[in-house]
Order: sequence, then C-alpha cells, then structure tokens
Amino acid sequence: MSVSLTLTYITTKVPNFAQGALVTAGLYTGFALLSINKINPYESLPFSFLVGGFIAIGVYLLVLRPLSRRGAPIISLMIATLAVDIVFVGIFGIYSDYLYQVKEVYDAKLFYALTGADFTLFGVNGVVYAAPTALALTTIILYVVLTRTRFGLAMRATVENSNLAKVVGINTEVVYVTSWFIAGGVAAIAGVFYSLWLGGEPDIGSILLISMFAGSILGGLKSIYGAVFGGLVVGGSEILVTTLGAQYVGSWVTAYEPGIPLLVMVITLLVLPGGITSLDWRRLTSRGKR
Amino acid sequence: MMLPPLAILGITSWSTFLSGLLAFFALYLIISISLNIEMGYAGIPNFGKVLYFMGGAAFSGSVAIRAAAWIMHVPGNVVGLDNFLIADKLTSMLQSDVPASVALIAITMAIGGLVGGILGYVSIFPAIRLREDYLAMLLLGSAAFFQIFLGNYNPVINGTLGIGIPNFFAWAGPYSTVGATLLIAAFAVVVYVYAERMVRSPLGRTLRALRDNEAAAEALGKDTVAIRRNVLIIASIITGVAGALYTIYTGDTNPAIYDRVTWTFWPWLIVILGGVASNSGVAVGTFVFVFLLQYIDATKFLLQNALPFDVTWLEYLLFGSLLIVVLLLRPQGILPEKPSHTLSRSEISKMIEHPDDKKEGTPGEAAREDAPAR
Repeated sequence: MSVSLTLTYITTKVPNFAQGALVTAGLYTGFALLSINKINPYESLPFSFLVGGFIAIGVYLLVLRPLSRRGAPIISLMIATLAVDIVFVGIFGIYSDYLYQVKEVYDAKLFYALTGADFTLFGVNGVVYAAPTALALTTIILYVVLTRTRFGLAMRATVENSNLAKVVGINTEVVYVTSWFIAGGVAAIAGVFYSLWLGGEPDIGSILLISMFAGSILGGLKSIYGAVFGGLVVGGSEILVTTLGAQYVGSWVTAYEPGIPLLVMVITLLVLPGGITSLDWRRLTSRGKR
Repeated sequence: MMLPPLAILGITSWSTFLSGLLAFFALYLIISISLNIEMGYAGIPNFGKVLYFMGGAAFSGSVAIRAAAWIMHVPGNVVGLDNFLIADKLTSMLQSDVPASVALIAITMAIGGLVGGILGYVSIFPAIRLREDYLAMLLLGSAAFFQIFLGNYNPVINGTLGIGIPNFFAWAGPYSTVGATLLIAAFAVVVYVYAERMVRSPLGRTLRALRDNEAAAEALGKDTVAIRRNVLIIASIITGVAGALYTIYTGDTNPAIYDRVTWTFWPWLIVILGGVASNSGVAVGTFVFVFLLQYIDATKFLLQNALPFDVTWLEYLLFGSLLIVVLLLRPQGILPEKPSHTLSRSEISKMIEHPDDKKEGTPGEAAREDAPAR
C-alpha cells in the first residue's frame, strides 16, 4: 500500500488521501466476485488490479489533472483527494448496503467470507505466503521496469523534471496515467490481501490511511524501495508491538494498535524534520541503490 | 390540523427544522470561521479540525457531569454503567436550580476551550515545522488516533459507550433546546465579530502578508512563528468551545460522533464553498451547506423506503462531488476574498496637506498595509 502511495506521490507531488479508497475498491471487488460469482479471490486478483487501476486513472484524469492545470495550490489538491475519498466512502457504503439488502449477502459489512476463502498451507493461512510473494514480485517488476526499460527511463525523467522530460520528447501524460494505473492496481491488490487476512468494512480505507502514510513517510515519499522498507517496518512493528505488548503489558494495548504508525510518523518527522527526504537520508538510500 | 405551508417540500415540522437549522448553522459557522482564520488567513491547512472539536466535546462533557454530581452531592461512578441514570437524576435536580445550571454551562464551555487550546498548543510543534502535506497527514492521523483513544480509555467518557450529561437548560422547561440553540448562536455571533475585527486589524493584514509571502513578512520584522502559534491556539480554543457547546446541545458525548467527515471535511467544504479568507463568504457557505444537510436530514425518510441503501451515503456522494466541482469551476468560492480597503489617493493627499485633522488613523499606515488581492 505504501508502495502505491509513494508512486502517486512522486508523480503528482500530492499526498493522495483517496488511496484508502483504492484499497477498499480492491477489497470490494474481491469480495463481490467471491460472494456473488463464487470466484476465488486469488483468481480474481488480476481483475481487482484492473478495477483499482482504472479508478486511479479516473481520479487522476477527472480531478487532479484539471485542477493542477488550473494552477491550484497543493492544499486544494489535497482537499480534492480527500473529497474523492469521501465520494468513494459513499459509493462503497451504497454498494455494501445494496449487497446486504438486495443480494442478501449478510456479511457485506464485515467480510468473514473472504477470510474463510483462503487456502491453508502447513496450518497457516495462504495469505501469509501470498502477500510477501506479491510484494516481492511487485518490487522486482517495478525495479526492472524502472531501470531496464525505455519506459522506466521516461518515467524517472518525468519524475525528476517533467518540463525537461517534455523537451526531450517524452509524453509525460502517458507516464502519469500509467503510474497512476499501476498505483491503483497495487493498492487494490493490497486491499484483497488485507481482507483475506483481517476482513474489512466500508470505511476500512480511512483507518489504513495512517499506516500507509507512515510507511511512505518513513520510506521517504520519494523512493519506491523506501516505501517497501517503510511498509515492512510499520506493518511489522504494529504486529510485533501489539503481540508483545499484549503479552507483557496487558491486552488493552491491542486496542491502540493504530497508534503505532502514528508514532512511527511522529518520530520520523521529529528526527528528520521536513520528512525523511532530507539530505542525509537521500545519501544513504542512493548509496544503497548504486 | 392544517398542514404548514411548504409541507409539499417534504418537511413535516417546520419548528424542528428551523431550530435545527439555526443550531447547526451557528455551530458550523463557529468551526468554519476558526478554520478560515487558520487556513484562509494564516495559511495553516488544518486537516485535523475534528481533533480539537472532539477534545473539547469529550473532556467538557466528562468534566461537566462530574462537576454537576459534585455540586449536587450525587454519589456514584458518574462515567460508569449507571451514567444515564445519574444524568437523568441531575437533570431533574437542576430543573429548579438556575444558578448552578448557568455555572455548569460556563464550566463546560471553559473546559472545552481549555482542552482545545491545549491540543492547539501541542499541534504548534508540527505546524510550524512541517510542510503542508506532511502536516496534513500528521493531523489527520492524530485525530484518528485520538478517537481510538477516547473509545478505549474508559475514565474520560466510558469508552465507545459514551456518556450522557445532564440537561443544563432543564430550567427552561419545553424551551431547553431553544436555550441551547440560542447559546450556540450567541457564541457564533461573538466569533464572527471577533474574526471580522481581527481581519481588519493590523494582525489580519500581517497574517495575509505572512500567507502571501512569508519571507517578505519576516524581512519586515514580523515574528512569523509567534503569529502562527497564536492563531493556531486561538482557533483551537474556538473549536474546543464549539465542541463543548455541541455536547451541551445534544446532551451526550460518544467517540463515534467525532468522525473526520463531519467535523473536518464539512468545515473545509464550507470554507472553500463560501470563499477562502472571506468571513462573509464563509457565513454564506455555512448557510448553503447546513440548509442542504438539514433539508436532506428532514426529508430523507421519504427517499429511504424507495432505496435499497442508507441515504447518508448519498450525502457523502453529493457533498464530496460538490467540493470537487467548486474546486474546478469556482475555486475562489461564492464570495471571494476582497482586497483590503484602503484610503483613496485624494484623501491621503488631503491628509498630507492638512496633517492636523487626522480622523481615520495615520495615512502612512493605511497606505502601506494594502495586501495584494488574490
């Protein structure tokens, strides 16, 4: 999820508050296909990817591009993505009510069905294997595309300096649309995995948003690998701290789980004011990359 | 009974509708004006409005019922399971005790402002250091976490169950809701007048200078950090008091009420709809928004049977799209910010010629402070 957020951020320089909506989109696609068409969520993954991707393109083309063409300040863009998120919360709310009342899918608001649909391997849910594999695959594919193909070159050029990229003859619009598509797809897949593991609800996106932001901020908002790292740290610490905390401090700790990404965010911002994109960090990451 | 006029529009009880309209208009006016002071004038994009509102509402409610129980010598765990019984008992006791009720109202509002101010003070640290986007993420996250905190930490408002607080307007009998509404309205007037006066004061001009060109304002010797800090604290206090007023109005407090859509996003929508950095615009925007919201609320039962989903989701769709449309088609809002009023050239030269009859302040200052129109 952090990967997708960072991807939209580096292309449009706007924190996309609607990212949670894309995750929810994936979640609902997987769920609807499972409960109505009886398709295994793993088989419907490509379809979820497409749905998330096209929604992301829609958001970019219909809302963000026209706005930034009018020279809207960053605050307007942020509030616009927040508005998009709220529109989607409305849409998913309507959709879940529709599933509940018309299609008579009674777990449309909690998604136990998805958790049950997962296969098990060695007594552990399949998603435990599938999600890291998907993350690794996404990272490798993105790495290859970004560094080994002409398109990746164009994409990096656009991110670095879009005006210069235009001068060289790169169609920056295609680059933007593609990266939003990928970002939306990745977010949607992340949503399917999340629901396979923990279930979900119509406004799950807004809860996950903090974790996503924490992951991207920790990763530096500018580097995809950073986001992978940040996401791992945030997700890992959430699980670790709550499990250990529940063991040693008391079970009340578990309720404060969403506070951990916030804490990560605060610490990151305090230690490296202005975000982790400050010089030291960039030097560190670029040394790793070379 | 004869149907009231315009029942055709779907409104069955006009008195309920109008009183709700006034209460929510005043409430949203308070919050939106405070957001406008922060965002429109000082340039702090506060995406965590709900944080201050929630803090003010929850803690003031918590303190209010404790204080009431203390004054009235009612024993028991006031924020425990028998909270609603105690609240009812206190309401009936306060019915005949006007001074205590008034004192409790004052305490509630003061606590709301205090908690709002404390939260505002805490948010200074990120607000003066971070760029807009990081700040937005941080405040959004903090608000979400604070809501979780209230839902899990029982001593404040009994966790997710929430608490009821006694009706401080019980002495007004059947007019208790009207009393609470008028109280909110009175505070809204105070806030509006304050904001208007502040905008026309040197502070208001400094704020606009700071927003439009921070480096220039600093070069002119303005302490930008101190100004931002003060503005954020004042706006947070106002929002905290609004939270306390809402608690008094509804008579209970529950973490589930304080979602970011209702108390962060709607005020943003109002400010952008009405006109950023324009108090009269914000007032118009508030009216338009609250009228639509209340109208949908009053008539949604008509639609509810025809639709297979909750009408509330349609509100989300409608207002979310409305904001995007406003941003695209009229980003300056209904009533855009006006360039500040300065003296005309002839008047200034008249004053220079006759320096003795200074009536409207020193001409030099008025001429220097003209902030550029946006």
